Amino acid sequence: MTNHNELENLLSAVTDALLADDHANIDQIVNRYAVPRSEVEGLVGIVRKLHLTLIGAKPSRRFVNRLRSDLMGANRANIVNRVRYLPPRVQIAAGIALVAGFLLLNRRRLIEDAHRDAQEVPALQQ
Amino acid sequence: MNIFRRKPKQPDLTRLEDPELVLLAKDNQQAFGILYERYVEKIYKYIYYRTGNHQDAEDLTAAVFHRAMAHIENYTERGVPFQAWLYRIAHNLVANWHRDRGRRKIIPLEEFIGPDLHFDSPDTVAEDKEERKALLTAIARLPEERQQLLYLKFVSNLSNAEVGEILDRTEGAIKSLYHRTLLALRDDIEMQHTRVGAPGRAPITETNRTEGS
Repeated sequence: MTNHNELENLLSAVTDALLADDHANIDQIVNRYAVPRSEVEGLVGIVRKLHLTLIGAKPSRRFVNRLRSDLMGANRANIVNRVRYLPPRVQIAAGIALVAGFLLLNRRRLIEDAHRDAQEVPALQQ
Repeated sequence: MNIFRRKPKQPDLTRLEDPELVLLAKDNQQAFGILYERYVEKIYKYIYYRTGNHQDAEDLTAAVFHRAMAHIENYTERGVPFQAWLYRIAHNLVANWHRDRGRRKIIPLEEFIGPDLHFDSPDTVAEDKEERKALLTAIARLPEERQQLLYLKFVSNLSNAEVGEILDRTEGAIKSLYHRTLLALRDDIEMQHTRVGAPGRAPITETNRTEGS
């Protein structure tokens, strides 16, 4: 029965070595651990395939520069930019809150005006 | 007259470690700029693999750094280094992105398959591509946390300790999870091989299953 920790350590060591150097001597690493080869080979094969398949996609330089100037420029306090990157639901909620607030303020102003007019008319009539 | 007085020399920010830069970045945009340059590529690569397209990867990467910049004043390193904090923001934004879309993601396979290896015969190249397709299919069937582990290790090139900081697990737990992930991949690929010849392979989809353990 293989010690699980040994196998876990071996797999991590092999992965780290491959990620650091494509031509790493894997056999040498495997020999350092007391794990039967038959148990290791299939898994090391998967590690190799993962290393070959999961290749990073680099961002374009244009994007990196544009985002940099976006972050570093005068846009720091720009509320529009901050809202732009919020999830759509939050953007919609913010928009509704903004419109509702505006309507509420306007309504209040209209009520106050009407109230003032109502007070002024009797005064004029006198 | 102090025109001959030397201006105090600006410290070379690029030489500073993350914790020092984070402290400076609270009120120094240049310091944040260095942190940005240090991590933008890693975060982009990670998000790209989680979303499957460049446009969304760009939008979400921008969102990560805007959010980080907005909250860096409140960030204190309490066991979560800056890098792990950034990845956690990225993870949350990607999770929201998937939830908002409300559908299973179809991963464009061909884009993810790396360059051909230099084998001699076209048959071998085709076989190799098929193997990598099978691997990607198996990865897509893994629970989300295991997929995340693989992307953090192989795409972002992070150590077990760093992955542990992001996933909030110990280094030992990450080693164990990695071992189990490799076993699951091996079993899945073997099952795919036994089914060779079956008409039409299922499209690769990302499920939102979560790790049970």
